[in-house]
Amino acid sequence: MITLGSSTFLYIGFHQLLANGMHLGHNVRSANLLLNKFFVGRRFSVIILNLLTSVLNLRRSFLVLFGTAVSRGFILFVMPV
Amino acid sequence: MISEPLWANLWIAGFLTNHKRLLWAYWAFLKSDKLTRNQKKVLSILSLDVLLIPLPGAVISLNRMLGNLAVIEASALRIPVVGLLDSNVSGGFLMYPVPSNDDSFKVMFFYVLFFSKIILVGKMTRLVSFTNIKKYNRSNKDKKYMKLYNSKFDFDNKLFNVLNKYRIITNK
Repeated sequence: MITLGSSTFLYIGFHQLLANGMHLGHNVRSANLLLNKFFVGRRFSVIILNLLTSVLNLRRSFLVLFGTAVSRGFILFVMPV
Repeated sequence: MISEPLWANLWIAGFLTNHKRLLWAYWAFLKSDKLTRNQKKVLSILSLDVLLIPLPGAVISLNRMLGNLAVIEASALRIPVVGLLDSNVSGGFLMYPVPSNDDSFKVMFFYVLFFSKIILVGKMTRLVSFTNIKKYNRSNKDKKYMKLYNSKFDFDNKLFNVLNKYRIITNK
């Protein structure tokens, strides 16, 4: 999908996200309503995420990181403690 | 490999917005005579050394709930923030959200791997595009990456020689 350098090296798609278990969200009670645009629907009160939009957003974020790396900027990772 | 800073500690308030003042305070703290040599050594090993780098060009927050202050400070300074958005958090202050699960270690590893890969590709393209620049214009950072880039090709030969030396493989 991403054709920067080698496409096979950086392939991210729908199936990669599905295989890593990213299609399910939280319970309906704890869900934030601001994120409705990312949801597809619900099954047994569990939210199901829209993976296609998440892939598109991932690609957008990749372009930003790629640009900062090319322009010799630092990229700070913030881990949860 | 990508040599980018990582904040894996409790966030110091004002690390990005009040960066310069904190840096001066840290510098004065290290230079003060009250500290012993061992204390200085311990402090230099601690993660406060992250202060010595300039402001980042981008911030990646792997958990919106716990990295809350970091995201707000970065957005105040118009630094692009890439972050994982779980379904139980609000999407405010994130410039480039990635809607996904962010609770498990598996997911975090998955994303860090891909983020680090894209950063590596960016650095490599920088190398390739800047090879024609004259030698005195190259920075030390560029030279370091060029050495790394060249060492990749040397590695195969070195491995071959070592394996040959200890008769693990035979050169026929």
